[in-house]
Amino acid sequence: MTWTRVPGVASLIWLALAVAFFALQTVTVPVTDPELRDAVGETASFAPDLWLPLFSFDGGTVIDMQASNDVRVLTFGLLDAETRAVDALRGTPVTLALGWFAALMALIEAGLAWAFRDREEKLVRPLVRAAGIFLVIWSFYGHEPFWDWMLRGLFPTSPDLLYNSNVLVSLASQHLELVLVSSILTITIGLSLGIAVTRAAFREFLPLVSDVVNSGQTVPTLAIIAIMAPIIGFGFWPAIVALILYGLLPIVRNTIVGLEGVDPAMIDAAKGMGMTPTQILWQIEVPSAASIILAGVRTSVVINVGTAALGAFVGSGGLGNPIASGLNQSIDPWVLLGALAAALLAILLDYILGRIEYVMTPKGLQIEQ
Amino acid sequence: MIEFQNVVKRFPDGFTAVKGLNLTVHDGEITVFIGPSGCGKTTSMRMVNRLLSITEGKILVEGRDNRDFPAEELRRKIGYAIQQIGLFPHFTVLDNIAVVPRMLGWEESRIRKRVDELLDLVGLDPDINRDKYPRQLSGGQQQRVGVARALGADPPIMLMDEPFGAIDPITREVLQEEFLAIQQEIGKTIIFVTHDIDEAIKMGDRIAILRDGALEQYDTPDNILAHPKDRFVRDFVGSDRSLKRLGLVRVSELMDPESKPLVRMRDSTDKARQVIEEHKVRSAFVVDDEGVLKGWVDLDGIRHAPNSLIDAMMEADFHEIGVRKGNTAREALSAMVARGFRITPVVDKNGRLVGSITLKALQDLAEQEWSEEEATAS
Repeated sequence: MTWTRVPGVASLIWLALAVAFFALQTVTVPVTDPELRDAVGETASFAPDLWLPLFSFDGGTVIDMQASNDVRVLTFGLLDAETRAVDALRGTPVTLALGWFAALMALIEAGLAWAFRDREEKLVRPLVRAAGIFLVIWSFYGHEPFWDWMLRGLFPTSPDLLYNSNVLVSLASQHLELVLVSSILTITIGLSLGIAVTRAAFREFLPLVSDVVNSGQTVPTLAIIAIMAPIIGFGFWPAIVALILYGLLPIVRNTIVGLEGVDPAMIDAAKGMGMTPTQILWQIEVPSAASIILAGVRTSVVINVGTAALGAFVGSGGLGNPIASGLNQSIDPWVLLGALAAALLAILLDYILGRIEYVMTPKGLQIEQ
Repeated sequence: MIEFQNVVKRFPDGFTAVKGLNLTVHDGEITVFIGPSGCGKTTSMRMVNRLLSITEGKILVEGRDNRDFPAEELRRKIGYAIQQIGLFPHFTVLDNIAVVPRMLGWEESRIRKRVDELLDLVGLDPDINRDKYPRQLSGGQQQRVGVARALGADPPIMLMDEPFGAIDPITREVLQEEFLAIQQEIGKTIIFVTHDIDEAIKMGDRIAILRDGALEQYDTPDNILAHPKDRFVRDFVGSDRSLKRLGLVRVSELMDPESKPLVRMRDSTDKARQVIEEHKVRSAFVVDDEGVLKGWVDLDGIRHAPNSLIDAMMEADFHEIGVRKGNTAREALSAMVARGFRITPVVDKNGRLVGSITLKALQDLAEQEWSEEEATAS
């Protein structure tokens, strides 16, 4: 990694800090609805929890907005408080400052890439990448006026532009939660399956696993979500199940291809030197196949970002929410907002995973033969 | 010592690769397993460190049944080098060589010392190569690292499966020579599998010729060449086996240290004539004051120039006319045929004349072999 990449990496660190600060801060708004005030007190705290938005009130009552749709519907006062909290959250100083700083670093990286374009072989990639990071950071972190401005340009006559029931960064957080939880599970399951069926003891299951994994990707995700919802209920988990099934194929396939492609002479040498099967797997086979496996992980995660938007149909939240609501209520700007934001998130994750792939590919394997 | 006792290997598909092998591999020797493909040579070798299981019989490694140890423990005590080398591309040279020492729990400082020692031994500069990755090395260098890795934890026994098989002929020669020199130093007990009879003759202290899973002949290279047991072995070692046998004899064994018709550079041609007649030869060797071979003069040459300084008559330096003491008789023969000599001076490593070797001495060796063969044939 050359020094010109430092700002790019720094921007990611600041981005992570911005997310953390956003998650930790609490916004307190006065409760205006008299009935609600009687029940819960003078003020309501809105915790933009990374995972689930929660309301907590003076009296200690906590209402989980995600879990209790009925509460939301019944209590207009709560809705009122939520709207104010969302307004208050648009651009709180700390997050704003961190977001700007991260965006600035991304801009500096782009500048460096331009300034040293003669020395760096590739110019387009770092520029596009830096621009991508900048856009994501800048537009997600309380800079919704940007979206407002852009969407106004596209939809001059639309009465509603910004999705009004949650801030973009909260939706992005929920979206990330879906992607991260499903990806961690997919990677765990996919790697284990891939490793298992390439071991001598379970090799006979290889065709079976291949078939199941392949069919997981052929069945439409929406169908899986629709089937899962009545079985495990609405919300987070049916979406996760669908995402896992859909994301397994690239990981399992690449793990199998990667492990099967390891030079048998190398394994023979390792065995002949007295390495145990476990040592051979983790010290020889997995590192040798690392770049192929990680490429599968990258594909799977990026696919999941897009697929996770479908989770909104069973109430799992995320950037699919404005899309679903937009489609229901024929508000085109919301659809575009969710879709663009999801695309930007995918680009950002792809970049981060690309870096991880580069770092985790053993150095000796990056050398051309 | 490795002892094969009635070893049988039958594969699950019913194919019997090794049919009751009895053989003792002696300590400190290179024992070559050779034979046509499918003869069971590699299978036999791979049963020693239990990469293949033994169907019947047993293999004693240093007096103990090799199934008394856990397989991994056994293998860590046996060096293993293969044709494909199988270096780990994501490990540096150091990490590759350190694999077995690390598994045995050596101190890191001891490992570093050992790695440097081994790199020196196989002729690679430790400072330059220690932190390189295999893909940055040439094929020959990779196999040197492969050999160093097999020697990593200083195992008493080594198994080598065509270790120089995939390397170009010139580098292979060099590696063979180097490995023989290393073996002189380390004296390991080695099983060396090859299908190349020239390599077997060159590397082996003993050669085991296998055919269809059975031992055909097990003897020293010289005995196998001189007394092939049957037609199969005779065909296998090739029709040029007398020539091959010359490859086993060193010039120093055949040369005549007394026969040195030599003159000094400052002597006159008359002196040269006198020496030549005295030795009943046709030419005399010219040496300088240090005794280093400088050239030669023959009768035809000096006949036209009586009483002049030999200095002016010199032909060439010793690289072109002499053979070294350590060369094989085969190389001496080749040199003599090329130059049309019947007698060739022999020099030591400093170029000093130590004797001479005649074409007749080489022929005698071959004749002795043929007569031996006729004796066995009749």
